[in-house]
Amino acid sequence: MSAFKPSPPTHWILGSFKKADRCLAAIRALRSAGENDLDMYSAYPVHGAEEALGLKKSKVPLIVLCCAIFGASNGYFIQTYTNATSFSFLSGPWLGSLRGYLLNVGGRDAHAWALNIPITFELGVLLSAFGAVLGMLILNGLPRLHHPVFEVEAFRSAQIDRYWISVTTKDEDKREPLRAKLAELGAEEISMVEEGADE
Amino acid sequence: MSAATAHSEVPEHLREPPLIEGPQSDRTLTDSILHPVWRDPGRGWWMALAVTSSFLGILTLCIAYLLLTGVGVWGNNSPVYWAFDIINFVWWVGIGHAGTLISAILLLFQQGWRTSINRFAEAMTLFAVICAAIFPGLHTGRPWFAAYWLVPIPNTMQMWPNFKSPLVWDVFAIGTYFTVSLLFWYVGLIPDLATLRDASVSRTRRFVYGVFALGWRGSARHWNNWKWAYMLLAGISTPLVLSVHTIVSFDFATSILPGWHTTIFPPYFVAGAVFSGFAMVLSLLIPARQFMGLKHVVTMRHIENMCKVILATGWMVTFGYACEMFADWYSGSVFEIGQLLTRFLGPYRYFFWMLLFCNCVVPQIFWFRSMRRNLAVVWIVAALVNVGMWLERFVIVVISLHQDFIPASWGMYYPTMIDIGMLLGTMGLFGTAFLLFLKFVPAVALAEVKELRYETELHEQQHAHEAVTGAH
Repeated sequence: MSAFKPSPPTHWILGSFKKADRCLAAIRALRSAGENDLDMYSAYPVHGAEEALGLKKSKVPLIVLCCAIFGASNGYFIQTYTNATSFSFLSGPWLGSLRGYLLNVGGRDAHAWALNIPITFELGVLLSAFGAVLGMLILNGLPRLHHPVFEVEAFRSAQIDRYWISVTTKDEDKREPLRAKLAELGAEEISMVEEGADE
Repeated sequence: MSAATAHSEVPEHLREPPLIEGPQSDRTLTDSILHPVWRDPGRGWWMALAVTSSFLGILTLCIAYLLLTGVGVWGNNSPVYWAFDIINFVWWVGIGHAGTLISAILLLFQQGWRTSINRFAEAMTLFAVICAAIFPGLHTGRPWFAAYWLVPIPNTMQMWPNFKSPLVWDVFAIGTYFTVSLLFWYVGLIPDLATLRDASVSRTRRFVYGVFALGWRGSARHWNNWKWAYMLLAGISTPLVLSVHTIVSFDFATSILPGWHTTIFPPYFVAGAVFSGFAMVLSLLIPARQFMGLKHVVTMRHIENMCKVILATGWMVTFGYACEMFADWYSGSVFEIGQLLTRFLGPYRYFFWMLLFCNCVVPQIFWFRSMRRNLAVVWIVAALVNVGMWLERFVIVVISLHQDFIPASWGMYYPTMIDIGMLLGTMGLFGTAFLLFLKFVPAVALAEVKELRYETELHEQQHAHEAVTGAH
């Protein structure tokens, strides 16, 4: 069909454990054996999983900080621009409506910074919350409803009471050794999935 | 002496009861917490839904009549321009505050007992804020114009909202509060939706829960980002919840009206909000844990702790009343003192005395351990606290407005049937939303309870190990 040579399929080797500490020990053993395409799946955040897998610190805090600064400065700007300037963009049906309006209420200061605090704060919080949630989803590559691990029926137990490990490889010859290694480490329900095999 | 022996030397009645009762595994927790979602809801649930949705129907009719006729269908008049609408608004927002307090502040303080009740309380927050937001929206008279009155939308009249008005701050505070609460709730729910997806037997349920779970796999990489997002949401929700009722209290405190013009309002509104919110959590949780078989995760210890929070915040509120009365008297202003006397002796005096009874006297029963463990007593006290907090807002709004500076402009306020219908109607909306929540979503945060169980188990193993080795 295609003139291009398809990339080799990725092989997913999955195995489950009954105990979290056994699962973590298996991950450490696989990593020291040189396997780095590893992941662990559990129904709750298992303490020590990041260290065992060697994950870097999450970037979510940085995203939230940027969003907080953007939201708060934006909130302050909108209030000052609309109530304390008479700045005008080009005229025209739409841009003309963006003109600032120097609002005089009983001769009070047009720009009174203390009164801008509540909305500045609220918009900082609002944007940080969106940053936290969308940042988390984007970094996790979600939403993604279809994934090779879901091909394994037994993998359902990962969200209930089992701890699962996945090892991925592009090398077809490594499949059987990895499978044997997982079995040796005490994994049960070992299964294999080929990703992108039918493309 | 090892920690384990020290623990066993503590007398039985002084030992802290466990947060999860009985021997539980991840499988039994999953089964018991998801059971109310899978099972047929039963006749009781349908009957309750019939009652609440009837009240929701009343709310819909009242709103339709109000929109077709105008806000004149309410009892608001001159001088009582604000009445049930703002009372109900402040009351509902306050109820919501306990949810955020439980989910965010207790998380930051690492209070393990929050885990079984946070999902429940957060859902309560969402529905309470929805009920609250109905009133100021309708109070504008023409809600379809309210968009550009409240938020800066460019328009051909070149008009902007007045950002120096606390009423505009309120819009941003409530809008942010609702959005952040919803996001916080949903982020906590994603792992449980994935469990629902993978534990379900029917294809339809698997598909629907799967879509809402967004493809969550429970990968360690997911959890790594999730934990940060959840913790940061808790971190930003904490100042947010304090700011919301502070800003709501500015609606009153920035005016010059005797009874409103006082600096104690922000902290005293926040304390009152937590007070009423915990009371509402108890009112709902006591029947819900009974009917849903959640007694092993929502234990007597949770209920006792909440009673203690009610007792503490009840004293904060009482202190607020005392400060306010002292400031009225000490000001020497005839108007402030007049306002104080009107509360004690004026035409609405019964409301004021009822408020003092419900909020200051009734919670004192929680000094007794036996009363904190008596579910009927706890439920009645919680109900009375909710009544008391509604009366507090009535006292602040109506009594302050009905007799201000000039006797010639004094007047009385009486609610109409529409006012009462809308108050009861929002309760119907709240109840309907809550019953649907109990049916379709696990009422207890399953992933967090499993994590708590795992940590407790590790902790016990450590203790046992120390007892054997004799180490500290």
